[in-house]
Amino acid sequence: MTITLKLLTSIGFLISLFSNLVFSQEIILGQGKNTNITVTTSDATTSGYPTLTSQGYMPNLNASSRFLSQASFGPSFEEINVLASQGIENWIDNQYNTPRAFMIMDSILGYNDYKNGILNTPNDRPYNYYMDFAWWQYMMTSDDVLRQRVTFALMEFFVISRFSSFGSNAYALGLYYDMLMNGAFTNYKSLLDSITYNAAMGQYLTYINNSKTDTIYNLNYNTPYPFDTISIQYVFPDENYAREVMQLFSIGLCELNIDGTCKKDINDVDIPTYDNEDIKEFAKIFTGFSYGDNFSFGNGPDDYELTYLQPMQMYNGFHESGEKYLLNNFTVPNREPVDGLADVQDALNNIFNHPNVGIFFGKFMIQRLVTSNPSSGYIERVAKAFNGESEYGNIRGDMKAFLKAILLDEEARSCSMADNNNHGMLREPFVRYLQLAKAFDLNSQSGRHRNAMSNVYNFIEQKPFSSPSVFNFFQSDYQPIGSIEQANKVAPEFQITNTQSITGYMNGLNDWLFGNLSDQWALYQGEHYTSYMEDFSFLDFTDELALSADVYLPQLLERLNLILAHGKLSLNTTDAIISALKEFSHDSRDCPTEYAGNATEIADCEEDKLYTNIIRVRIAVFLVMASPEYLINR
Amino acid sequence: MTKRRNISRRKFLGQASCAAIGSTTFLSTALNLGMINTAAARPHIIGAPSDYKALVVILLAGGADSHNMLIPTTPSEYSTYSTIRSDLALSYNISGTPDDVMNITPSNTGGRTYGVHNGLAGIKSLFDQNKAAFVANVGTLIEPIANLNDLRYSNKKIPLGLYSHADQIMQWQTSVPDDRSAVGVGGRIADMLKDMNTIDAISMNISLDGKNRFQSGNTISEYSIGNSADPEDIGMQGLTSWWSNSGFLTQQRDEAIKSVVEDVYSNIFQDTYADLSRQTIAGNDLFKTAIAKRPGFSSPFAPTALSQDLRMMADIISVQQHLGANRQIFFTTFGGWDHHDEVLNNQNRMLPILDGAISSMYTSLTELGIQNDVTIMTISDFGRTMTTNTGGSDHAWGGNSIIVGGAVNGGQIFGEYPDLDLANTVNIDNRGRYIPQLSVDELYAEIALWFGVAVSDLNYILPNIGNFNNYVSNPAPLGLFNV
Repeated sequence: MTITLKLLTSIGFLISLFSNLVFSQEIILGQGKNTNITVTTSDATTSGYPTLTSQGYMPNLNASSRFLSQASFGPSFEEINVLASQGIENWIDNQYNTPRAFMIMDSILGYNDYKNGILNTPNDRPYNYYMDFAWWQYMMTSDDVLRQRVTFALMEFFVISRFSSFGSNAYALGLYYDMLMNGAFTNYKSLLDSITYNAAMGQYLTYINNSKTDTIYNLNYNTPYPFDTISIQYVFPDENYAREVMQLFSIGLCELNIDGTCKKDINDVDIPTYDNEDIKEFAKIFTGFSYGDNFSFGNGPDDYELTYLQPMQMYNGFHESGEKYLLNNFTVPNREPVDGLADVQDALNNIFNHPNVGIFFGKFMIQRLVTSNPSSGYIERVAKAFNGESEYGNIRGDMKAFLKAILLDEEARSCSMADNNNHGMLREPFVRYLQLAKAFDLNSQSGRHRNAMSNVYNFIEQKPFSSPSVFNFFQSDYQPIGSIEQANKVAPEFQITNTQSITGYMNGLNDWLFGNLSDQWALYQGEHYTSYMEDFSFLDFTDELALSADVYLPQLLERLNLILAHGKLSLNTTDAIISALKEFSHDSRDCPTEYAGNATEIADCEEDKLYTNIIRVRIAVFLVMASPEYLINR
Repeated sequence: MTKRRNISRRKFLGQASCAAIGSTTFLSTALNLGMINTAAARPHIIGAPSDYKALVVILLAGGADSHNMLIPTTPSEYSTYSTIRSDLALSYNISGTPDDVMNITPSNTGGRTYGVHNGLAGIKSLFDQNKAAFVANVGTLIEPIANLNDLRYSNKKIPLGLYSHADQIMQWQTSVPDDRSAVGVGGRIADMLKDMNTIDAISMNISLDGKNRFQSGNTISEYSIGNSADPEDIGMQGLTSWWSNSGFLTQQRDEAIKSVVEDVYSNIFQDTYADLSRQTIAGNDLFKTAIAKRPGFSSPFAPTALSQDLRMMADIISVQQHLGANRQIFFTTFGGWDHHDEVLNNQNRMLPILDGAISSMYTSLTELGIQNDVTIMTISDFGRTMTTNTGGSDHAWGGNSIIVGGAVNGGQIFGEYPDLDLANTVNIDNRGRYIPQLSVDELYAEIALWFGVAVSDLNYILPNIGNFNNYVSNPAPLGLFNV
């Protein structure tokens, strides 16, 4: 059987299921809401016909679910249907226009005020896990799901981590996340600016209190004037940020062709983007920054926590003077008087205008959202959108155009591409966890959520702000051994996939499905859980429970397949899961005959039997989420 | 909800819905190559039962400032050190008054004297007993580079991404500085020697730090575990009980997972994940059984993560016969050494952790009587600048490693500790970055030969080794080992 389905709509992309059309017949999909759709099948009598004529799940439900697995942390059944009726580009535009629900920082402050009110400690600071509570509350309750997913990817690009001197500071982390969320649909340059002036980044990559080149003579004042020199101390600008802002946050290590490959010199060797002399020049640029709230360069902040709420300030007296020779023969002028911030802007513009940025950043974001090995054409289309050369916009660095180019590309949307053996990506462990919570509508009576995310981290070694280094949890060029390496492809997420993390993930599923998905900590020492029981959160399996009887198990698996895996589960897998579920049937247990006439015993027994169905649904979800077809998003 | 479906519809949906039609589900799982990895014990044993060796690699991630781990104390050299290090200099009083440094007397440095950081008391003690050595000014090299002129004007090949964490930490693990290789030295050693072990389900390479390049080979990947030896903490936890039958649901789940991951996947990502899942399941079962037989140790290990990692390694070594292991390579990471700031305070805190972990492990190996068959070494991204950026140091190149074990020719410093004067011809610039005069290749070569790699296979383990020495005619230029 061969079927070709083409969507030639105003959306402007093409879905091609299978090629080799033989026979053509036009039908309308989606109750006529989508126009200009041509569907052709090779044979109108094949079993494909009923689906195409929308007697079952419409194919565009799976396509909708698939899109939402790229553009969000994953959909619920209802969200899949909303998208299917709305259309992808409209959905993206709606997301662009959806405002922030609240600021994570405000939520942190709210928790703190509440705690301080109860304890009568008006000046106390927030606990670090208020950041996690606020972050989780945002992800569980806000509608800007595209912004959430994109920011999570940006966080893996512009990395700071709680494994740092500010790691216990909820203000530092909360503000940084708000900053990335606010910037997600603006311009790359605004993001680069804001992270560069951010005090947490200044700490993390050690250019806060970073002084200009200097020679210090330590004198022995016990000797006659002009004093003997005990030692000479040479001080040089710190090179850390100079290096990482180029290597990781913008242009990467080699000059790139528009298709993402490294440019080669005449000896077929990669052309580096910069050498150590360039690093030294950029190191001079990032001198003179100190805390925004202190009164002199080189000292600590006036307030070790609140200081992170404001950008660093520039002390021109400690900024390296003179010309600096940057990339592509650009020279920062010798400014008199010294103007550090102008130098920094020159340098950030020098980086921003490097031709690599759209290619390097583009490939990274494609890898995070869509596929580990984008084709050269895909990278080129996305890079051009970054450069302001696409149908989506003409402003360099425009995130909205850039993200549309990633998500609307034929390579992201096409079904035939999804069935390519080299296409796809491993879902990140933490994204799977979020997906579970969102797919089954984690909710609480109060609408408030608490989750310190400590358990989940112990199982999968991933949660926001917990990268082991500035190099993120995994690197873009990681190759696991086996068929991926043999195909000369990369699979970044496999860098954190090993016997330990696979086991940890399975044990996590056990805990999240049969125990608590959230770490619902007290807000202050002494808070009794009874005072926040209405904040306890639960997964909602009501719809799935209705499909838990033997006869409905195929439908249960179909539903889970749609929501979690957009139809990618194989027959072998769904059969294996159904067989396992049938081994412990609600009906296979009869209440003992001696219970007859004892209403209480019968009720207890029936409750036990009902619990079998709950277990069935949860094990079904467990097994779907443990299958390679779910784990690989494609 | 109104959905009436029968099996045939469901079958169709599996295919028509933009789905995995390529993943054929009917092929015999026996065809699955991955099954070979998880095969049960093989009958033949290569090597005598007593022929056991283990290598322990501790990665000090971030680029440890190792010029403050091993310090020159010859008066003129200390004076240079003190001047150049400035606020980073450790104090050293030749008169013996309290300072930051303990004297050691290496037997092979021609009268040059050295000290170790006070935080390394256990290493110093092992050094004094000839059970520990240092390797000085060692770093990533493609070919020897004699001095600055050689670097600048001889067209010598230089490692990719010099001074960059991502590249240098990778190259210290791969020893291939001219490529961004996914395959590491320990992985390639295991590629060569894996047949020495009699059970495939547990890899020769055991990681206490998850996935890493050092242990990834072309045909082997690491078995990764946590540092708890409690069998309850190993492998998949059981599900809830059902009608008082505690193991029943777990069994159903495990059988379903096995059935799913033993399927044949044509998508390379699914195939790789399924392969890893199968390895995980088989390995966990075997490992649980073996580790339960560990005797334990009378000597204590500190509660630090690193000490507990090394304790777990010692526990595993103690049950190596139950794992069919004649060779094992262990790996862990102790991170947080990127001291652009606060290098003195941080090293005062971190070096005792490193020291305690290595010392405790050596003591435990002595309890097992196996201390002569295990070698422990530290590696790091790079050395750091000798000059200060006030409080901290920046990325550089050559640094110093620690190597410990009964087979090590201890009490020596291998390689040449550089003259720290900035005018030294192996110094690159005014920051004090030293060109390594000993390559990572030369360090690993003697370790590989000690471990049992044939000289003829050394080129596979270390592709650039021919640039440094001919090991057929000169098998131990450094003389790291006494066996």
